[in-house]
Amino acid sequence: MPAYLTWLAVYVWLPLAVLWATHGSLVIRHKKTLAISALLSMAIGVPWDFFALATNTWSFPVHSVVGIYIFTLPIEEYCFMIFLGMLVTTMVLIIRARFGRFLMPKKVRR
Amino acid sequence: MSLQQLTYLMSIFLFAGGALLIELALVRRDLRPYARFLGAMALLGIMLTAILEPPALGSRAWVYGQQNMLDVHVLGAEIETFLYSALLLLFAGIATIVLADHEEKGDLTVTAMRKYAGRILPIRPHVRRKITVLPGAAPHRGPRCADIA
Repeated sequence: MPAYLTWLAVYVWLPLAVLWATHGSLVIRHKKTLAISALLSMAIGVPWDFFALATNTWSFPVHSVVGIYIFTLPIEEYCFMIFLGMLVTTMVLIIRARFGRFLMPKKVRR
Repeated sequence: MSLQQLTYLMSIFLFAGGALLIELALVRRDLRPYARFLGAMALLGIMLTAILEPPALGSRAWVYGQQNMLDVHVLGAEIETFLYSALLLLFAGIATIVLADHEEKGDLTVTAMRKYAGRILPIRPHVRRKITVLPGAAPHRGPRCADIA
């Protein structure tokens, strides 16, 4: 399996699946938040990636990706933006729900 | 050190910093109680970089152009990447707090989001105009309008 896909599977999809399985109700209650976060992640990530590839700030070795490109970006990069955005949002939601009382003043606790 | 070595750092300020500044301009009034929470988010970003970046670089999932980097490595990652993650986690933390607060109130709507956009863009509130003609009133040149916001 190409390296980027393996990395996504191990470090993004697996933790995301575990968090969603263990915090299903929290995820369902915030599905719009998750969807908008993924869109925001794309809105920042796609132009940044185009800039980075144009200036050779970073690149994706041919043997590391499956070889499907959308507008010169490998499909794994779109998966990175969408699913890492969702993973981070899920983690923030869990931290907010679990540890909010230590991190936030009383009047805004959930 | 050449200017080219600052390319990655500048792109972080431009894209992650720029997005964070726009977000702060939109929602900063609502964030004061969350200062500690957002500090924790930045810390989480730094920790995630230390966990996620070294295996990606080790397996060459992506590679950096060394001429565009400061070439300072900390815990197996480029030092700029820690700034990247801290800024993006701050951005994600703020977005999640604001969006989740609205979704829990059942108010995650286009109208609610327009309220935030209106803080930095000259968006006028939607105005419905109702033409009221009083019974028995003399014909008038223009309609008498009552604006209902």
